[in-house]
Amino acid sequence: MPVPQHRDNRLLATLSREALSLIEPALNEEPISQGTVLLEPGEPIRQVYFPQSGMISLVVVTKDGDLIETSTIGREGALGLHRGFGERRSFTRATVQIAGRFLTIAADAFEDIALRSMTVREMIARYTEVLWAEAQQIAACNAVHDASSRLCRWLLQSADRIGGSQLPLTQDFLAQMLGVRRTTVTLLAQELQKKGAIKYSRGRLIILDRKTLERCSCECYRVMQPENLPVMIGVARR
Amino acid sequence: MPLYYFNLKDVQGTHVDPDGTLLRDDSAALDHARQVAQELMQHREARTRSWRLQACDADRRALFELLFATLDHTMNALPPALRHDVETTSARTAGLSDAISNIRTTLHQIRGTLAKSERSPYLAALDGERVEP
Repeated sequence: MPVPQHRDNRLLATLSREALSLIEPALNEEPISQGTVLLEPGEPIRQVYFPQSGMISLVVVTKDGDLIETSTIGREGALGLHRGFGERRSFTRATVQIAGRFLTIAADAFEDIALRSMTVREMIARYTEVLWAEAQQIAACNAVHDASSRLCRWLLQSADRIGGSQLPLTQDFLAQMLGVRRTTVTLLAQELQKKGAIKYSRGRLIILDRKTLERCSCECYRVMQPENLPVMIGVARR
Repeated sequence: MPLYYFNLKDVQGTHVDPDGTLLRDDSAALDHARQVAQELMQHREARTRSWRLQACDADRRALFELLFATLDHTMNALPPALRHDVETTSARTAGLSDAISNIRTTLHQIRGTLAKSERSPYLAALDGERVEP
């Protein structure tokens, strides 16, 4: 059986050859379909997921059943990475929003590797800081920026996460992520279509003009670029 | 449940709701329109006061229009007379946008008529609707 390649996951790609040699034998590769819930709030983390393609969204679920996005994870990151520091439970719901291929590793095996490798522990610490920084930025963004610029930021980030310009996302999902009604997303998408920034039909959104989207996005997109996050500098240069 | 469409009218023209939403009745449509308008204007109230949300029935006949300025809670602290002035100005700006949009349509129609008289092909659309000469 061929050993899954790590290079599509940018986080694994930052690891040294030595650290990778510890992780690679324990990796499994599996396709995961859209809508699969990987973790529920309070659930113990049993696997760590490294997306090679596709996207996971992390949402806080309120008592009323409302969902509030806290972060998204694509091939630049991993889900459940902090499990390497010992047994952990998930704080958020993690759902696969864009189907893709994922490398998985059993939590216990990953914890063993983290105990043996300083490089892996450093990767966990840095990526946890990145998620923390993003969650803070998204909280501020949700509080002060208008729905139109948040939608643009969200589309750009999602495209970056999956490394493509076609996003198989429904307007219902986008509405949930932005915390607005579907009609609001429909009208905002119409506005962006008129500007030639996107094309939307039958649950498939295509980014046609990134520059226009970047112009219409709030500053949070630029702030959350990996190269602009100070905690990523050490990882990115490795 | 009946189907309602909600079109956004801003300075660029009308953004047509292609899908519509099933709602209990006209009263629920009004509530929905208010919430959508507030979501569209939140954190950019000053720029969007002249925008309107038009609600239409299943046959796309207009039922009512909401002027964003009338829903702008950031003006709640203003003296009533000043708020009234802002709302009036916003309504006039909206009227001007409609007039500009109508002129644009008329110009397309005139060009279409001229092209037709010269037996040249001419095709134009505004807000997703074909403009007939």
